[in-house]
Amino acid sequence: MWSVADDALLAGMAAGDADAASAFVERFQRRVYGLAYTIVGDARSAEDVAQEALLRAWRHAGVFDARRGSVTTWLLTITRNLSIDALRVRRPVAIDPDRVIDLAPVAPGRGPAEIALVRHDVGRLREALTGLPDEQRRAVVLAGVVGLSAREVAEREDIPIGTAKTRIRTALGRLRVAMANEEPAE
Amino acid sequence: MNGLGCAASREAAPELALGILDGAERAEVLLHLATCPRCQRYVSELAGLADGLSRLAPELEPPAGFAERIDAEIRRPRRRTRRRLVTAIAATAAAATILAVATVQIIDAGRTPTSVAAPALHTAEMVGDNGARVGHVALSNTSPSSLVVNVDYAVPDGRYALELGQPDAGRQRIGAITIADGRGEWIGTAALPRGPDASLMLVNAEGVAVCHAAITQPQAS
Repeated sequence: MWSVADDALLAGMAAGDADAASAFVERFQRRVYGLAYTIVGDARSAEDVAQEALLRAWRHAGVFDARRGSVTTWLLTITRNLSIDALRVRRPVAIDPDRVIDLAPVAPGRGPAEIALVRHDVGRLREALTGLPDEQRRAVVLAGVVGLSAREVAEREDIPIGTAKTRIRTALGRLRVAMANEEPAE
Repeated sequence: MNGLGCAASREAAPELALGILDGAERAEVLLHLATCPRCQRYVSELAGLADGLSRLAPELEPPAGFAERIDAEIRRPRRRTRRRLVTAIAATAAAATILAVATVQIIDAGRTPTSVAAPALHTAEMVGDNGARVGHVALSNTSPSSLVVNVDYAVPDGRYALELGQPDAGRQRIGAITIADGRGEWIGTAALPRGPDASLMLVNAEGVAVCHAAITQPQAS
């Protein structure tokens, strides 16, 4: 199956190609909506956030810099920031970090090579996460997936901010070691 | 205030890589990374992990008609209004205040001393026309000075010239910064003007300064 690369779609959007934008929306809408829903916790707000995130990608496609990360990361960062902004102007919602990482299907519509790569990496990372102590896994998921600051993690977990920082730092360090150790031999 | 060394930067690296480090603390780490390839590599590794984490959220099917609504919006002739910006400013004003307070508290919490010699660092708030904080500037006491300019609030998207200036002394352009999705960052060096009234400004295409920070070069340590 042939598939246009994410970067190429974004380049098309930057040039004002509405068809490229439609393909981009089709490709990323589930991932964007899924992340928004995970963070804001209700369908209406998630839809608003996801729509705004994809429209911002359309408006600002020209400033995407591939040297600073993948299209997916860029788009999910926009989604995360909008979701957090939405959360901050209304009551906090409970987020169960374990629910956040229970599911992670690979999106359809990408090239076979990327699907294989994403599935492999996501699978390894999820496995490494499950090997962390509960409190560290919760902290790093709240920070890394949901996008909460250390202070917000501290408030939600009812722990001092120093403890939250330590948990995040230690968890990411352990993930780094675990992923390095599991790097497949060439 | 002293800049960070390797040990302190590595402590903050996970938060930087996860994208949850803000304010002056973020600026300090970025200033250190600008001169430390080893710490750059470390942050880069962690950033790869952070990218992977962001992909772990479940994918969900949006409501029926979602893609079609976006498609219609994309194909509609663009019109910009100021109302959206004003609404966003009002809606997030409380959040910005909290963030500013949190940043100060993090800075005041103190840091582990490091034996690595580090330049003295000065940070200044960048404020908009209405006096609201829109970002900050961090600068070192070196000559030329290293600068990190970070805008994260209420500046309209677009490209702006970064200019240094003093009353009656004209302006000097030192670079350009792109604000996208309400955020922008610039890292570079510049010879700072002497005197107490120097400012760093973001100047739009019409030559209007949309925000500024009062800067004074920190004393060499």
